[in-house]
Order: sequence, then C-alpha cells, then structure tokens
Amino acid sequence: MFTLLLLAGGLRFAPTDTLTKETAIEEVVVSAPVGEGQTFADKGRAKSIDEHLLGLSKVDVVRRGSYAWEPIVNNMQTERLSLTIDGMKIFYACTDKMDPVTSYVESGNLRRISLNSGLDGNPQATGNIGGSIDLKLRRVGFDQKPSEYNASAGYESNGNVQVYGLDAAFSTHRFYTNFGTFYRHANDYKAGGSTRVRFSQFQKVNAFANAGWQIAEGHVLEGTVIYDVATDIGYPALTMDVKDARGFISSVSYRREQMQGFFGRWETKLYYNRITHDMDDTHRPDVKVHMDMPGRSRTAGLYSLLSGSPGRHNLQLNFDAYCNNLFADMTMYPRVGKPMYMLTWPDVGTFETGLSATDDIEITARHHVRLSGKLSWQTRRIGSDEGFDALGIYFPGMKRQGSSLTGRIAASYAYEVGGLRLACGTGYGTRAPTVTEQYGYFLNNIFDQYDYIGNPRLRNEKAVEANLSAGWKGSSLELKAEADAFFFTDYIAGRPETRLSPMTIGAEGVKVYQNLNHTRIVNTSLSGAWTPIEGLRLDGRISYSYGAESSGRRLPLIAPLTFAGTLHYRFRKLETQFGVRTQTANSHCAWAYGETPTAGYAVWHLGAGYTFHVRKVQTDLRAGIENLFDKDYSTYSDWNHIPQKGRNFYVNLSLQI
Amino acid sequence: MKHIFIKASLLVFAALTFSACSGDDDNGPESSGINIPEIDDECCNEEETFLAYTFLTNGFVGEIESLREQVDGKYELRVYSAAGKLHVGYNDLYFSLTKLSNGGYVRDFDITDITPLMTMTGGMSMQHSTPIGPNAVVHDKTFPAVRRAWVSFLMSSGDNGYWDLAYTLEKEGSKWRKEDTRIVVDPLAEPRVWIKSFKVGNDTFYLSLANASDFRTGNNVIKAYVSKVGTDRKQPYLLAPERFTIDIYPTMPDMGNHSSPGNEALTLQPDGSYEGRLNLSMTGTWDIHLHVKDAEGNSVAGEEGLSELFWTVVI
Repeated sequence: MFTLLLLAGGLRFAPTDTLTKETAIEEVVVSAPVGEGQTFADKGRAKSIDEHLLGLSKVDVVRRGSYAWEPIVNNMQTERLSLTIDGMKIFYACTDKMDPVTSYVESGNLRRISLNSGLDGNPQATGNIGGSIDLKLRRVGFDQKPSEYNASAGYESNGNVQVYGLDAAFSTHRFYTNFGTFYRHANDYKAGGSTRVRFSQFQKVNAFANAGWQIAEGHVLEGTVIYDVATDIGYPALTMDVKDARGFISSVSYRREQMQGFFGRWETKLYYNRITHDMDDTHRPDVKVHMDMPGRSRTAGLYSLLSGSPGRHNLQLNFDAYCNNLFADMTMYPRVGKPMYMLTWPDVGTFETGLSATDDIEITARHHVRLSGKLSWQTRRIGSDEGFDALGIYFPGMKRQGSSLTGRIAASYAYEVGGLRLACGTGYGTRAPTVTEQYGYFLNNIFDQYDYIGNPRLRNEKAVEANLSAGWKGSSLELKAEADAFFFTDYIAGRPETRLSPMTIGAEGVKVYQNLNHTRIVNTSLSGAWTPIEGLRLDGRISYSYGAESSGRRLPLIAPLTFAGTLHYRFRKLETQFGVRTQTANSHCAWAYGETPTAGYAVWHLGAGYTFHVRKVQTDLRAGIENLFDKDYSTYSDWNHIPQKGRNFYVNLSLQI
Repeated sequence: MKHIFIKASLLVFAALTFSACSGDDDNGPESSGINIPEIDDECCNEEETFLAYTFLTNGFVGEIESLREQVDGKYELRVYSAAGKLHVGYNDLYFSLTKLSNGGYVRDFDITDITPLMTMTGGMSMQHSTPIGPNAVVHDKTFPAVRRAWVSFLMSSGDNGYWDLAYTLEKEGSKWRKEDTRIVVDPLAEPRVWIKSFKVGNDTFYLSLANASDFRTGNNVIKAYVSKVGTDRKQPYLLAPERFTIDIYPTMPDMGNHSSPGNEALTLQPDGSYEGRLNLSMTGTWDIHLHVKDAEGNSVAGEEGLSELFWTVVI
C-alpha cells in the first residue's frame, strides 16, 4: 500500500476552507462572497450541493439521475454516515433513497459543508462510521455590511439547465436577516455521443430566511426556515420518477456568547423538519403494475452545545435528542382486480438521545491531540398494526419495540514541525440499524434486482478505524499521503433468502439484512499541489480503495483507482483551469451485490472565470466546458450504469451589491 | 315494529340494570303497559337478551325475511345471515326464536335437517343439494338465544336454477318443519372463489373456505370444511368422515405469484372443521393453492406449489 502511495505521484486538489487544523475535518465553501471564491474558474454560485460535495476529497456520490445524488464518504453510503443541517437531524423520506437530505437544501442556503471523516464525528452525529457531513447554514450575522443584494443566473447547454438565485441580507449590531430564493430547471440531458437520457429532468424551487436578534450583549436568538420543493424529477436509473418532493426545515436557537468561565459559548437549538416524497411511474412506458409510493419523514429535536477554549483545550460538550417518524406505503394497481397495499416503512418512531464530548488539545506547538466520543440511547417502535403483523410473517414472535445503546470514541495525534505534519488516529464505534435495515418491507433494489426485507433482530454494527497521514508543505510544493482503514464486525448487508418469494415482478429474489462477520474497507490517497511560478498551480489527487468481506467477496460501490488533476492559471482577475478526472475499470466488482464492471474513462474539463466591478456592482462571470471530448461513460457509482453527461457548456453570472 | 319497540325497551332496561344493582322493582320504564314477567324460564335473562339483541342488530347480520316462521301462534323463528344475504360458498346462518307474548328470546330450541336444494331448470333438469354443517350449535354461550349453522352453496340462483331451503325447529320434543322456501344465492364478486371440489375415486368432495372475509395482512387462522357428496345428491352433503391434510400455498396472481412463508397446513379439528395458518404479506387478491393428502399422506388432489386446485380471496 505504501509502495503504491510512494509511486503514485499526485497533487492535491481540494478547495478546502480555513479549518485545516484537524486531519479529519475538511470543509468546502458553498456560498463565498462574489469575487472571493477559492477559484473563479468553476461553476460558482450555480453549482448544486451535489457538485459542491464532490469538492470534498473523501466524498463521492451515487447518481440515480441528474438530481439528488447520494453522498458516499470513505466509500460508505448513507447508512454509515451522519448527515445534519446545522446540527439538526433530518431523515430522508424515500424508501429507494431517491432523496438524500442534501437534496432538500440549495447552495444559496449554505455557507459551507463540513466533513468529519470516520468515527471522529461532529457533536450531533450518530451512526457516523464513514463520516459525518454537516451543512452549515448561511446566516449573515451581526455587524456585517448593512445591506447586501445578490443575484445569479446560470445556463448549461446540456439539458438546457437554468439556475436563478436572488437573495438579500441586512445586518446591524442588534439584528440581522437574510432571505432568498432559488430556482433550478433541467430537461433531459445527453450522454456522450448525443444520446438523450430519458427521464433525467427536474425542477426545483427553494426559499429560505434567517433572522437573528441580539437581545442583549452576548444573548442571541436566531431562527431559520427553509422550504424546498422539487417536482417532476426523473430518475433514469430507476423504474420510477418523483412527482413531488418537499422539505420544510425550521429551527430556533438561543446562544450565549462571551460567557465567563470554562465555557465561553452555549447554544441551544430546537428544530423541526418535515419531508414529503411522492413517487410517480405514470410517465413510464411498459409499467406492469402502476404503483403509488409516498413517504413521509418528520423529525423534531434539540441540541445544546457548550464550547470553550480553556488553556490548551478546545472543548465541546453536547447533549441532543430527537424524535423521528418514518412512514412509507405502497399501493399497487393491477389492471383488473383490487389494489394491493402494504407498508414499506411501518410508521416507525425513533427516539434518540446522546451526550458527546470533543477536545482538541494543543499540547505544544508541535503536538496536537484530539479526543471525541459520544454515547447514545435509541428506542424504536412500529406504529402500524398492519405493518407489524406483516413483518411478523417473516419474523414470528418479533417485538414491536426495541432499544439500543450506541457509541463512538476516537483519538488522534498530530506532530508538526516545519512543513512536515504526521498524524495518526484510531476509533471505535457502533451504529444501530436504519429503519430500512430493521423494518423495511419489500423494498426493491434495482441495482441487484432483489426485494429487501428488514430484520428486526439485527445487532448493532461495530467498526474499528485506524488512519495515518503524512504531509509536507514547502514553498512551492505540497504533498500529502493518507490511509484510512475500517474493520467491521456485524456489518449489516442484505443476503439472499431463497425460501422467500419476491414481490416485485421480475425480481431475482429476496434479500434479508443480516450481520456479516467481518468486513473491511481501506482507503488510500496521495495528493499534492505544485506552484512553480506565481499564478500557476497544478493540483492532483490519486486514490485507491478496497472493500471486502472476510470471505474475500468484494463490497459494492468501492471506488477504483481514481486520479483527478487540474492546472490553474491566474492572471489578475482572470482565472482559467484545465483538468482531468480518470478512473480505471471497476473490474473487481461486487457480483454478489449486483455490481457489474464499468470501463475506465478519462474526462476533461475547461473553465475560466473573470471578476470585475461595474460601478458598485461586484460581478463574477464564469464559463466552461465539462466533458470536453463528449466521452460516453459511466462511473462505478452510477446506479445501473446510467451514462454521465456528455459535453456541456456552461456560463454563470453573479452580481453583488 | 312492536318487537323492535319491546326489544328497545328491554335494552334500555337492561342497560339501566347493569349500572344499578339488579333490584326487585321490575316495572320497566316506559313499558307502555306491557307486562314483562319477572322470571320467564323459557327466555333469556336481561343480560343475555341484551347481548343477543346487540348481536342481531349490530349491522353485520341481517334477517332473511322469507325464512321467517310463526310456530303455533306462540313463537316466531327468524333466520339471519351476513347482511341478510346469501352467496356462493360458505355462509353462516343464525337462528333465533322469540316468544310472541313478550318478545323474549327463547333459550332452548334446536334447528335440524337444514336442507338446501337446487332445482336446475332449462336443458338439464335435475336437483342437487350442497355442503352443510352439522346441526346448529349455540353461537355464543354468553347469550344462548342464537343458533348457528352453515351452508356452502355450490352455485348461485339464476337462469339455470333456483334454490330452496327447508329446516326443522325442535323444541321440547316437538318438531315443526319449515318447508322448501325460495332463497336467493348471489354469485360471489369476482375474482373470489371460496368453494372447490375434488374427486377421489367415485367420491366427490367439496372444500368450503369458512373465514375468507376475516383475512388481514399478517398471520391468519384459516378455517375450512371438507364435505362429501352422498349417494343421494338431493340430500345435503355432510362433513366427510375421512381425515385429510390440506397443504396451502398462497400466491398473488397480480404480482407474479409472489408468495409468503410460514403457512401451516389445514388439519382436522375436534369440531369437524379444518384449521391451519395463512400468512398474507399485503392486501390484494390471493390464490390459496391446495394440496390435499389423505391420512397416510398420499396426495389425493391438487399438488405442491401452484396447484390448479385453489381458492381465491381478496383482502
């Protein structure tokens, strides 16, 4: 592995924010002030959240269409990640994972996206074996510019994508508010070679408002509301589309700043969010049995976070609790005969509460230690008699309610001298099964063509993590090598149960979630940046991952050898970039999970950005070409091998007063 | 109307006496001068009357008015079924005997010799009967006013023929026969099929599914009867003396024959019925495929898996 790291010459490509103190934390700025982005040459404000997520080096996505990509961190999907919005728990409402929670916000809502890799999660995270992503909301804050107005518009040729955004912000010492709206629209896109990918359209409207009031010096009340509606969303990788997916996200919080004593800051937040998701197969040809599949998710919760920096410590103590309710059902309408009905998520209520602590200790300027841990208790109950009785067929004598204790603990150490930085870390954590894994009922997975049934008797999944990194930063060269390994016991995965009969017509069979003995996932990467002369920079990152069960059987959706490199050139207010992303063939694929090989590919992109003033108006103009040579390809994580976008010209304009 | 009024009075009365102690003051409120005897051994007590009345008027059962019979000018026998209708396949029949003098429900009576008869008209003029249960039994011991019996009709009334039903009331050694009375048997709504037949040698058997309307998503008791056609087809087909085991395999024809696990074969119960466990994983139309084996385990009808011998239910 290390030989590989040493051999693979690569350069860093990661537009990270300032927070680079800890190896495990990486951030990407979503809404930078116009003219102040890290790079002008990308899509800028018209970028979707999904595209921003891809800016994080350890993140990839599962694409089921051109909307609502599912994040993968360290080669782990949603089940092994924590996704929060400003510390608020939120859960998707689609049994087929068509709506990762990142799809219920817009770039304009966020200031940045923060990723804690592995078991060292953010304070509100639970179940974060692979990592925890926190979407930080864009609040203008006190004592900023008294007023600011933003407008942006974007167009992309492939799929006729249109993006429009408008927002305003007002700030004083006592009060602030910012609010805005966003609109996105896309038709079907074309794959390389101009083949139209049917059912890849979408449309989305988003509105948000934040407000803050400083009641007295150091006493702050804040509130947020986001309303997000996506309609007519096509999922070319699936057999169904979505008619309507809407999210309502709200919170109020009270914050004490500049407190005397051990802790300087104390924030308590109450929140509520609701997601409704309605699938739609009425536009699809050859539908054997028309189905309605609505899903609902409601979450209410609170957290209370104490932060302080006494001496060499940087402490965070957090208490959180939430209630979530997931309900999904399915009605199937045969051409003749009575509709068939079942609950796919049987009205499942989850209550979870936890305590977490994090401490960054700067022992000396050279030695840093970070410790974090969380203990959570969860209880879950099936609310629907019908759903309980149906699952009882498969698990006679099962209990209707269950509880479990989960936790995580992580420690890391970093040594810095000159430009050298060496770090290592370890952690242990457990996660409770998700509602799908525990109580899901005949959820068809088009990836392997199996119907999945949850297993109420699953044990918690456990994982040990070990990571190492070595970085060196010179005057014109930066290099970093990283390796991160996860060793699981009781890994939760679906296994075929040949005695059961599938429900979906044409399905291969039924899989029931089970605890596998041992599995492991190892991620390695080498990244670097080279600045030979002022204005010219070469970034690159090469990564390789491996995931397998103890039997040697491969795990699915593990990235093959990947390289991304970009050449940037900046001249005054003009920046250009030219880059490539290439992956080898995914040949060691997980056949047992329905994965089939994908070919290797290389795609090139070109972009330029120019920033200038027109009187008081700060202006950003960006344009570029993605998939320059119109390559027809799909990656290992494109669900059912749906093709990626072919050549795409984009142009974006942002204005700020 | 008069009966209903009396019963309603009884009901109010019974309700009052439930909450208060059962006193000696028996002058029912607003009894309109009707003298309700303090004790009538022939009739149910107040609590039993209340329960019987509730059962017979709860909206689930309805009277088949053509089968009502006055006996000796003293009693009236009424016959009830689900919604007052009869359909192809298994039907429960309920009988109650009321005393005309006071409207009270009589405790002790029997219903015997229930005889359904189909007269085929048109080209194939012939008569046959259909499966029935043993003699009527007390439906619910908490109110011994109602007797229950069952008839499983092979076919519906219609252009090809008509059904008559006769029965005998026995009370204290006396018998009254209600002669053949025309009844209407409706077809079952498509695609439901609750009665099936099979042959073993020269013998014909009928499989009547008894509780098709009770099924829900989840684990269900499935109850059925096996009846045998006698030498005289005009005589009711009684329960088969043979002992069978009936394996079941439920599938959903609309969902590519999706099936469910954990089903248990129907086996003979002490009361002559067959009972097993049926798992239905969702609502919709289910075919319950049957495989009938004799006491030695030999296959006598149907087969493993997607047997051609099946009931169809809709939940």
